[in-house]
Amino acid sequence: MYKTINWRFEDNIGIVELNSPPANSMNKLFFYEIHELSDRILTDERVKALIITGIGRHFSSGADINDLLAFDPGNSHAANDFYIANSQTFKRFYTAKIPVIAAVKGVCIGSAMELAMSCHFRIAADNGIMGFPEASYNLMTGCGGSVYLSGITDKKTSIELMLGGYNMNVSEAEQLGLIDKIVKKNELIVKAVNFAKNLIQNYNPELRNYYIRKFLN
Amino acid sequence: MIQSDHVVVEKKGCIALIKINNPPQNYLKSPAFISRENLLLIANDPEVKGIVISGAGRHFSAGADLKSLFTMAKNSEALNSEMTEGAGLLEYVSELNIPVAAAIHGVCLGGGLEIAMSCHIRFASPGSLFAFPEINTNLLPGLGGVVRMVNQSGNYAAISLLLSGDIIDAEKAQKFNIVHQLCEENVQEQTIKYVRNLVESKPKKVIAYVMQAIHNARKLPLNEALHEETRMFCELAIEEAVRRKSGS
Repeated sequence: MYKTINWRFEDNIGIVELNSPPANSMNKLFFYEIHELSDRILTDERVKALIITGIGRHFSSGADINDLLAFDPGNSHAANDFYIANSQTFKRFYTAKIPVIAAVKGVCIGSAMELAMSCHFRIAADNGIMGFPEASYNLMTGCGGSVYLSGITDKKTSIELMLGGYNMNVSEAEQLGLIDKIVKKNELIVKAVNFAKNLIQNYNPELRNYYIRKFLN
Repeated sequence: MIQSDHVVVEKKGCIALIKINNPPQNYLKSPAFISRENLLLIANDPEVKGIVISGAGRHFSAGADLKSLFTMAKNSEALNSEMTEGAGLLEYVSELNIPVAAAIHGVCLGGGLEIAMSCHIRFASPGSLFAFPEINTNLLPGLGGVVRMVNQSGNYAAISLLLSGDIIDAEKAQKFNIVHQLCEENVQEQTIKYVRNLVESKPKKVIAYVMQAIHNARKLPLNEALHEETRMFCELAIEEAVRRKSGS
């Protein structure tokens, strides 16, 4: 049905897998497809929780720099509309009434980290690598990364991540509050599904920290 | 560079070092530790991509000089306008579009701590000392220090420091998120190095936009902050695309 996304639905839990091996990079088609899919699943009342992850070893390497800059500078309106739509897509996850869980593994950088940050919970495999390399390419986040980060970290950490552009492993990310729980990589999806199952009874977004303490530790 | 306002300013490559200069304790001669015009000149210097604030000599700053404060307080209008100016200056510091770091050594008290709390990044030497002693003279911090303490350190830290007036050491200040990192030696050099590493290789416009997005995220409604971020991203992407086209 989709070329860049694998969509599964079992026991009221939806699983969105980014599917552009090897690193599930986010090309234009992905952004169109995730836009359409997000609209479909977030209005489907049978879907009580959502897990976002990647096929294979990685979550996603984010948008490819050449892809990002492949527009006609003379017609910047089209590019502008496209990027605003992408940002609104990620916002749908952030503002969703149902719990949205990122299951992070391998590489999760740039726009992929923005997608993970737009989720309400983040569980990570122990091999995960995260970061915002945009500034090193004279760019910045464009899909809400700066906004979602602000709910979790102080300005100092936001500056360090967004300007410094360092890649960090998931233990560092956990210390900064960006990851809620690290698990063994072969247990990632099982743990994420179990967590989702625990959340779907009377889910209340204000109990985020309680859910993490009770169901992830 | 500038040498008025009771500060000394030196350029260290792409970093401007602003030293509060009224030794030995670096008491603040007025609520605004530097004039807004001079700070603007520094921040708008195309070569300056980051600012480090420290104190000349052995201390960061012991805060307001009570004698001059109470003299000023005899004229309520003058006091009000000076305090508003000082508070506005620190608000301006906290919203600057280049990173601002405090390099703290010695004492960092009252208004000095308010200056530090307005910085995005705070490094300190292990021997440095922190307090809001205002309560001892039946006062409270008046330059935004209360708000910044609550927002950045939480109610517990804010209440215990503001109501007790107690002096805490650097380790405790780190627990309270007043200090982000302790530097065993030469805190000023370490802080400059840290900020330089963040900004040196990046164009000033990229730095400014990233900083603006970080500020927006904390003060604009969700959708506005998102739209502004995308708008700034697009502007940078277009410039980068043009640069690459003309470069190839």
